[in-house]
Amino acid sequence: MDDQSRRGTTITILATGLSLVAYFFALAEPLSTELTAMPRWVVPLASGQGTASAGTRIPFSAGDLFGYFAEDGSVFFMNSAPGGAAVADGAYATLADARLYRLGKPEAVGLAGLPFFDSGALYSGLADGTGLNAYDADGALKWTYRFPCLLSATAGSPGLWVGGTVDGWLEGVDADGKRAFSFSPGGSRISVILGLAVSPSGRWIAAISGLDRQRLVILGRGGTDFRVASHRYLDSDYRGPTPVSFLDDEGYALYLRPDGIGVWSVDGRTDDLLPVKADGFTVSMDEGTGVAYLVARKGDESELVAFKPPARVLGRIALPRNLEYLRMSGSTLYFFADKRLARVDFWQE
Amino acid sequence: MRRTVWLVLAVGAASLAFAFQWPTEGPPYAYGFGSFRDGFLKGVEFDAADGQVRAIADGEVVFSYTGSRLPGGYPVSGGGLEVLSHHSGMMSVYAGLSPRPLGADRMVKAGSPIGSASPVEKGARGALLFVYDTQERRFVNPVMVMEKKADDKPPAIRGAAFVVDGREVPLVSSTELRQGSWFLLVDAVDASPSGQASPPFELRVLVDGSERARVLYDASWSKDGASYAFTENPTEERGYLMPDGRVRFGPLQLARGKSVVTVTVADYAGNRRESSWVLSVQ
Repeated sequence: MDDQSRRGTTITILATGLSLVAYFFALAEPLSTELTAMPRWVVPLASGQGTASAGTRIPFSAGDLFGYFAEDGSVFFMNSAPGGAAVADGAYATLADARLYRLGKPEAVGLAGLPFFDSGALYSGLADGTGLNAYDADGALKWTYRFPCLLSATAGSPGLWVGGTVDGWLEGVDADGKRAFSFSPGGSRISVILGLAVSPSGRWIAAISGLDRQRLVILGRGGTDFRVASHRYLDSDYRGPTPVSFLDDEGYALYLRPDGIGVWSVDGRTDDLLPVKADGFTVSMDEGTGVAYLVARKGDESELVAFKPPARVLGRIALPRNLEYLRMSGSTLYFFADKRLARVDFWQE
Repeated sequence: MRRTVWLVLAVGAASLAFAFQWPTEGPPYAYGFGSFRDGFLKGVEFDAADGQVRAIADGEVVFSYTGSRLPGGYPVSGGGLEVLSHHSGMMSVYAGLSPRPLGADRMVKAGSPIGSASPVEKGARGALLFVYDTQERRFVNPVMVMEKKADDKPPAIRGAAFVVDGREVPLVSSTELRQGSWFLLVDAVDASPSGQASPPFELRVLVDGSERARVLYDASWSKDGASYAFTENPTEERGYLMPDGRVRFGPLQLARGKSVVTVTVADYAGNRRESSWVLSVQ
């Protein structure tokens, strides 16, 4: 070894040492935190079950099967109907015959159109895909709202329901059935709304819009109207429903992109990526720990990814194939597959 | 008025330049624009007897989905939706079909299969076709832009009645009414070329030879959550179309004496029919 190569080795060792010092003192961020998944229970579900149970009732719907269960795994009520049912905390509506059943009340109430719940409120869609009926808790029609075109994406929060149309407009409806706002993101060769989310407070709206090029647009409430808070062009070319969702803290919107799940801060300052292959996803956040849980689906496979926003992955586990039901509550996951309902809790050590 | 002229010119020009093809073989549709199908039908309802649904014109797939619900829970009519964008600024929307899987090429040719729909059993709902003008943001009656079908049969006027405060007086050859303000209910259908009871394209009401109402089934649109139809005389659909399919005009003021009420109907091919009733207003 000559002097020159000895000098090079020394410089390399010094540089490596300085890098490590810089890492620990200047970039003092812990490495991966230990995340533990603890299975709590598994119960088989079948129609006709019904045992009284204490605790919170959790709505359940998968295929034709629907009902309520408790946090401890006891089944409060389980039934089935052709086409299944839309289920909320205090009522459910069978889909094939559009009838509302309120818990604790024997009689059913007929509904017009195809029922669904959003943020606990009962709605139905008009058969031609251009309108919305809103009902009170007893199934009485409150109002009907007609959109200018067929809906291709919808989302709601308490007091605000937003429809995105196939001709590229967003139109918001307030709790009284009045138009809250109307907005066209534009900026693309062809306008269409492909994905839509409303933040839990109704302050933010996220939309995936347009073809050639597609855009992610974040609207923020300003007084009585919404205006663009941030946006970015996307490399995607989706031609169908495209998932987009807000984290519960409303700081970030997550959206599907060809190379993973994008994480975009509502102010446009953060543009990050969760390296997760997915066709679709749902996301929930445990605000107590600041950990977000993302369940990504690709084909019939699913995985759960725990991360600290914006995109620091803490861990990931594969979930059973063919998930039919999924619900996150804090750091608890409930899922249904192969006719069994299961609960898994997560915590950081 | 100028807006109306422009719309008619635009649609006329589009129909000349781009005569769209019907999406199925056989009868072009079962229920026409304006039929009562849980409300005012903004397109046509058709039966894909051979299962194939074809693109009505060259276009690009904008949105394609097979599923009973959108991610937000909103139901998809018939469990499938396909939207094509056409060069003319028109959009065609097909609901209730299973779209073909999207290939790399998102462009489709007129007449090429874009999806499948099950043949409709008696009493069931068929697939839907909407033609939508993206510039004006309104649904256009498809018969105005599609290939014309041979039609030499005029629409039928099955009856008419005056109604006020829930009291209905059917019109016969000579009808007695009290003077005042009445609504006129008209039961008129056009069974050709649809084969079903679709509304006529044009409907006029005259009292003593003076035109009191005229509607042209050309377009339908929504504004501030309410739905309207007929470019020339915008009418809110909710008060116009009855669940039994009859349509309502008025209120019409009837003065004491003899009056003649005339209803004329016409289809898009120009076939006309007229019925008159003599009223004795007390």
